[in-house]
Amino acid sequence: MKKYGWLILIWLFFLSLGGDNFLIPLRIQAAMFSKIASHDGVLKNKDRIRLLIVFDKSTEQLMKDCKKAFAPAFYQVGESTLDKLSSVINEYDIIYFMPKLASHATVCRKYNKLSVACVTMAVVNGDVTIGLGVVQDLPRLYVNISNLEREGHSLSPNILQIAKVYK
Amino acid sequence: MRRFVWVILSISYLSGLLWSIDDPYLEMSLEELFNTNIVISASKRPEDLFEAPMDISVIRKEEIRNSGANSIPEALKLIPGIIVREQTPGNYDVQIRGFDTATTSLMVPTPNCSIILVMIDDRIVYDYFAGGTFWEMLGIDIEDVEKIEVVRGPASALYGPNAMTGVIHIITNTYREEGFHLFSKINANHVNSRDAYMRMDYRHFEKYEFTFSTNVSQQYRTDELYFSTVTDQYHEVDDLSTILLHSPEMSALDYYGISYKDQNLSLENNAINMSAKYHIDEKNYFKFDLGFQKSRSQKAYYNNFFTPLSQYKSKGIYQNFQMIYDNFYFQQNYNMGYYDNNFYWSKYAYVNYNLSVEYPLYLGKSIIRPGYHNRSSQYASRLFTDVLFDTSHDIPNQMETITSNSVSLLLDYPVNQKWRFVSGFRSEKYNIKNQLSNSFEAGITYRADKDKLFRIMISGAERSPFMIDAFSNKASLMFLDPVLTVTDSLVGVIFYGNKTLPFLRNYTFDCGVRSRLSEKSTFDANFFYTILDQFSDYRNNGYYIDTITYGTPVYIYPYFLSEVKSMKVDQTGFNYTLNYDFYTSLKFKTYGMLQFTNERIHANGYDYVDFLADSTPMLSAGYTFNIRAFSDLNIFAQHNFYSRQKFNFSSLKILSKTTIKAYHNINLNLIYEIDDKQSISLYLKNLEGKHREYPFTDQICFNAIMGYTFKF
Repeated sequence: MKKYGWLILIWLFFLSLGGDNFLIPLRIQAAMFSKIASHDGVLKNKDRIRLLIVFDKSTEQLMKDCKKAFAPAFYQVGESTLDKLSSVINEYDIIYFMPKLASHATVCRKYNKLSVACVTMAVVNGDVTIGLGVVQDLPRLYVNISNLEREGHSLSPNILQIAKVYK
Repeated sequence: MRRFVWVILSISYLSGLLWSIDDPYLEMSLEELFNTNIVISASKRPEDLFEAPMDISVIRKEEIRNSGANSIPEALKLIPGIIVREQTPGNYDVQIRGFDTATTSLMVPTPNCSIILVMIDDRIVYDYFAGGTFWEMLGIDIEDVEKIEVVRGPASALYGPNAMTGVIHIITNTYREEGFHLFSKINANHVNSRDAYMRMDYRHFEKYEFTFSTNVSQQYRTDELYFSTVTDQYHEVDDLSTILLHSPEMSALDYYGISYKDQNLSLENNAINMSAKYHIDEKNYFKFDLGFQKSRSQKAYYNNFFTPLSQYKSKGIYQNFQMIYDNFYFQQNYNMGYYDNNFYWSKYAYVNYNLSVEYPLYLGKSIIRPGYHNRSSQYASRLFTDVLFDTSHDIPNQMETITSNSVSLLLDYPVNQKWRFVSGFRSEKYNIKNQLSNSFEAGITYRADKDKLFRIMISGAERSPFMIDAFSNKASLMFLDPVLTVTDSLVGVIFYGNKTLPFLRNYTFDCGVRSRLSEKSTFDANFFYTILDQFSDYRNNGYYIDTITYGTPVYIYPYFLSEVKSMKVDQTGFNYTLNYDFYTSLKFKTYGMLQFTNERIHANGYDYVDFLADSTPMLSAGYTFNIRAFSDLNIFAQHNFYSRQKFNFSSLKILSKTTIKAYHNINLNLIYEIDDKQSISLYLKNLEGKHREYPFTDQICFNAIMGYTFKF
């Protein structure tokens, strides 16, 4: 019995690895991305915004947490691994990348999809269009304006005014 | 206890089913979302300050700089529930919610609060000799501080022992713009006090950060009176009678060859701090800190039993390593040095070591955060030797050690978008006793809507054992007037420690509400009830007959054993903060605490009384205005009020009483920005004039401080 107890504990341990690893709590991210979408020239007139979460094996648990948190904020929340991304990307409006996968966001340019992530460096580097970071305890919005144009989107001046904009 | 947890869980679950589960964040505007304060202290992971389950306040660099505060304790005056009293210029006593004299040994009084835990970037800066934090020994300048997070109420389940009435977590500069930067500041006032600070930092490609900062400060006393324990009045030094016999030729300040560099000095310190940080990505990093500090502070206080001016000298070095990688948290640090309060009895060397490992596990919606913590405190003092009436002033080589191993477990369970259950438990095992020291917390928060949050918490915490309580070994205190003969003037007492003392403990219930009253105002109120018991102190246990030290005649000395007292104290109170932004250029804040402390069970049979409930001010409150006049000028006005306080000083069968009248603290700070790189400031401190804030110490005076800062 003792042996099985240990096995259950070890199983629970591995089951519980890889949770929320974000600087901004997921519920706040969900609300922010949905509000930002309403200021996007393409998405503001859409009633039903669909968001796709791109994950890999190491962020599977994280993806599940994201799905739960994002579900109330979007009409539909889907998930995809990198290898299946091109086959499902057209069904969605916003593509949310896990921090480790942000460098793969350039694929969104080809399909005119808005790429977002809770990262800042990938926005500075020009991989992701919209990113979120924390500066002195306050969330800060990062926008790569060149990427935004390449993805065929535009943001209202109000949003760009509060964002840190990169080209 | 188990039943209570089940009741809370059941209520949370049923409430979750009954109430709607719309996420309040979805109701917020984008502007409101970008004004969400994200903090880590309250539950050890990033969360909205508004949703924090504990009673927490944060002050940030901008507010600190606008206020003119030029020390960390001074900045703490802006937070409700914190009682900050200046002893001599630059030296402060800091309490959270009070219990002032309850927790220091009444036989061996020290002007430090031993039941709050102070941390700098998660590094504990607590002195385990007699308990407490020496603010002059922190080594960091107010300009090193990015923000200060204060948790009111027991938080030992999260942070470890001694966080009994709260935690003060100082977080140093964390945000850097790319490239090389320099910040420098000089301040000088009209009574010959000055301080200077310089910081250089370099950030490279969001990956590497290096910081070097140094500070130097000198402040002088503004009062020449000393308290007499014979007359209970303040006198000039020449008219002063102390509790000890001394010849008319001697000054009350001259005993045992104590040398003062300058009797008018109140604080002199300098420090160097260095930090290197490598960011693996935006959340994961390695950080290494190293620092040195040297300080000398003087207070008109009988801490050394002999003179009415106590001098505290210290030198210290610290090292800290911190790592976060894929949620795995690791911290290890050393701090070592010596502390000397100009009397061999409490002169000591120390080496403290801390190690902490934590890793959060995610089970469904729950987050479970187990942790392991190891601490070692090594102290060397003549107090621990068994040489009766040892006249050597040197610190011995042999060190006594208290080590502890502890495990902690935090549980965070969001029932739904509105209800949340949090709990924590920590258990410590010390090498000097078999008994475990346990701390806990359990609480529920309910977010009624985006603008209101209600919270209830019960928590308990224990204080760690101290060296002075555990290892005093025939420690002797001898009063020998060097002018008179041994036979005429020898008076002595002997102290024995006790390793089996129970831990001082408290239980607290608190409940509160946070509310955004309008777009312009926020309100935070909290009610609390606390019980403290298992106090300990020295008690006369008999007489020691000495026929050896001085031969015949025989000398008889009373000896004192550290033991538990039957005393029990409780406190009921309320604290609040209200922020109102009239315009972006005019901000108002008011804060305060009303509390009632009672001695429920009195400790009978002690020669050295007495705990006084009135030593914590019943009302401490204040308000501030921040006015941004034009684009270049900032005006900050602050008014604090402390109600009347009564104190006893009991030592060696002498009981002195004093009352601190209700007093006001009015400060005004003006900052003019000359250009992007330079600014000048004028800080008018204590505009109300001369007054005393702490018993037996100096009166604090009006101070006009001019400052200049340069940065690029």
